[in-house]
Amino acid sequence: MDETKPQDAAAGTRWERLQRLFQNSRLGIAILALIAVAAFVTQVGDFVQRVHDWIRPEPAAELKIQSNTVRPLEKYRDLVTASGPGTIYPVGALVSFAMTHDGGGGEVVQINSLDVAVTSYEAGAACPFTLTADQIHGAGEAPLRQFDVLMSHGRVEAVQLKQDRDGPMRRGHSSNLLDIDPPLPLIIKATDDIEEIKIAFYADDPGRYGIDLSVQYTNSRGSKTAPVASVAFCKPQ
Amino acid sequence: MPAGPQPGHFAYLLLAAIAWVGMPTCVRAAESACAASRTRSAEIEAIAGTFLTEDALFQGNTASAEDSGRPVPRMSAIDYKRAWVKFLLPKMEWRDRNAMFFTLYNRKLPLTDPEVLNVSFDVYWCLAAKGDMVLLSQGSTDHYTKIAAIDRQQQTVDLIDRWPDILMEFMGVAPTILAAPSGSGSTTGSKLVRFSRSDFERLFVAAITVDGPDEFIGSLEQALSPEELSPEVKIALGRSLLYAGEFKSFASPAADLIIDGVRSAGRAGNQNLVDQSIPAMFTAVAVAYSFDIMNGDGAAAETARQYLGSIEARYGPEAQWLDDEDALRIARFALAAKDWRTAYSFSSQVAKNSPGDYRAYLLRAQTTQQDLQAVGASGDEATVAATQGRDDAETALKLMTAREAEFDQRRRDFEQQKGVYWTRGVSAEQEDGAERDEIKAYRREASDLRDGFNVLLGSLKGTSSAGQPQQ
Repeated sequence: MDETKPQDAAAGTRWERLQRLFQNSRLGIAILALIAVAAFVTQVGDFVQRVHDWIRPEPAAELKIQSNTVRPLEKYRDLVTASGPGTIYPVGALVSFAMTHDGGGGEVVQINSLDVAVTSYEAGAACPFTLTADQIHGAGEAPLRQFDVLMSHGRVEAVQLKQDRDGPMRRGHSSNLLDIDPPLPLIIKATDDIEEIKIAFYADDPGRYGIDLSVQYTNSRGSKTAPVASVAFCKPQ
Repeated sequence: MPAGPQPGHFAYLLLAAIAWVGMPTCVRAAESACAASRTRSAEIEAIAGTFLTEDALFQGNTASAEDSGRPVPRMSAIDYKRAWVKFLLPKMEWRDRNAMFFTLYNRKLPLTDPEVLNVSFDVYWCLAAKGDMVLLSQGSTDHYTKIAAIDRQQQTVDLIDRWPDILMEFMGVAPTILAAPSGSGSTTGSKLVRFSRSDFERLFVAAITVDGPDEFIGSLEQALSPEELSPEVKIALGRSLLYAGEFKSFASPAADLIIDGVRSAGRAGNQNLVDQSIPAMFTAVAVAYSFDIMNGDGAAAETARQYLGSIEARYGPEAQWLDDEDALRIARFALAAKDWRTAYSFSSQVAKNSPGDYRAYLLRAQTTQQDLQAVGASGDEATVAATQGRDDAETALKLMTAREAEFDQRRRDFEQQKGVYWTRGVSAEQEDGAERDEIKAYRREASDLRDGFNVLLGSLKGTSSAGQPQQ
């Protein structure tokens, strides 16, 4: 059976009239050509999209470091007249920043390490200030949710962090501040998930330190490093 | 290779032997370097022991500022010493009238307050004693705690604290926890935290210690090298003696030390230190003058009087640069020495500068009353003086009421989580408590003075009208 041919006599008559109308007519050829081009374009567009998707996948979530600031330690605040890239902070410095990511809701960024790299160290170096105890008071407990990092002889000597007053003191001795016991897993789960980090550096020995702080993280494409801050501080003899 | 001992082996053995023998010697040397360390009287030792009792009693059972959400008091060791002089010393000095506090800071982190003895850690290690309150600092943890025991032979110090766990939070040190052994008095069985000398050195910032003046100065002079006995240290020591208590002053040695320090500073060209120390030097000499009068030492009093004159000749009248606390101190001791003129003059100076200070009016009323009593009251001059005395007593009473209202306001502020009690903590309350107790006694005295002046004025009036010629 010819499926394109209407089965009743009246339709057959109309169909024959339509065939006659299109046969060898320019209008008919033009309409058929348009239909063919449209079908082709549709297929090609879908194909291009498939190729595009295959070559360039959906971007992975990238870590964003925000609001990073470097401030003097509270007890030596008065000794710092201006903060900036060239500032040598007295005894240590307080670095704070926030981590988030720019991926979709289902994306996860795993923080592997908070790395302290000593870029310069000069034992016994002269410092451009003299310390006093005028701002040291019996302050009791250390602040919560702040990494305290003790630097000595050009390296990280001790790290500690307390998340809750009744929780454990997490301690470490590594230049990776997350290498502490008990461990502290850091995962950024959603774009609105913001992890605020505070790190207080203290020089234990007299000398001048230059340090770089960076974050190493993993997303769905592997590991990356994000720089956070460069800091210099000095402790007088 | 031969198996027998080689010459090199003997050398190693010899070195090891020297080290073995030498090590205890070094320890002994460290101890002997502190052989002249503190030798306090039994009474002072008893006072020092009482400082530990509360820490032992309340260990683990005391709310901290963090618990109540209060800010931690921003008080230096010298702030605490001055607070203790007001509320603690009066309660403890019955054991030993010479008891007083000294405040020391680590020279590496000096305090700029001129009453503080900024010394090296080695010096403090030799002077450290049971009952000392010490300020430790490292990283983000700054904490006041107390010394329960010190063992210079073993080079360890045991600290007692209401919150001993805080002492375990210092970084880079390795303290250990132990129980105070039997025989430790009120602290027996309490939790102590032991630090090695080197760990303690890494943390030490400041200390407040109790002692008698002669004993402490003797120990300090032995512990300090001659070059460490700087003008600043001499002046700080002098100030410590001068401001030993609100009503206590070791003025003669204080004056000697301050004068010596000022002269040394002058020779060294440290004019700032000289200028800064002149008011304390004047006060020390003025109070020493009162003591000389009390002791009947006319020659010493005359020397002091001339010295005061020479200071004013050089630096101008004292009223231009002496602060009210120093002026009140001079007035108090002058009153005790029955030097009415000096007492009246300095209390008037304070009343003029600080018209809200009840102490100045009370002192002036007391001075007037004793003066009138001594010279015998009569005539118009006596009437004028008695009227002034009565007015001063009344003013003092009004100002005391205002002061008590101020304390009440502070308490209400505390309930609203603000004000001095909220920010400065228990010490501020205790200071005010001590002053409130004083005011109770002063109020009775001021009332008696007012009534006495009224009686005197009545009798003077009666005498005056009786003496008037009949019309």
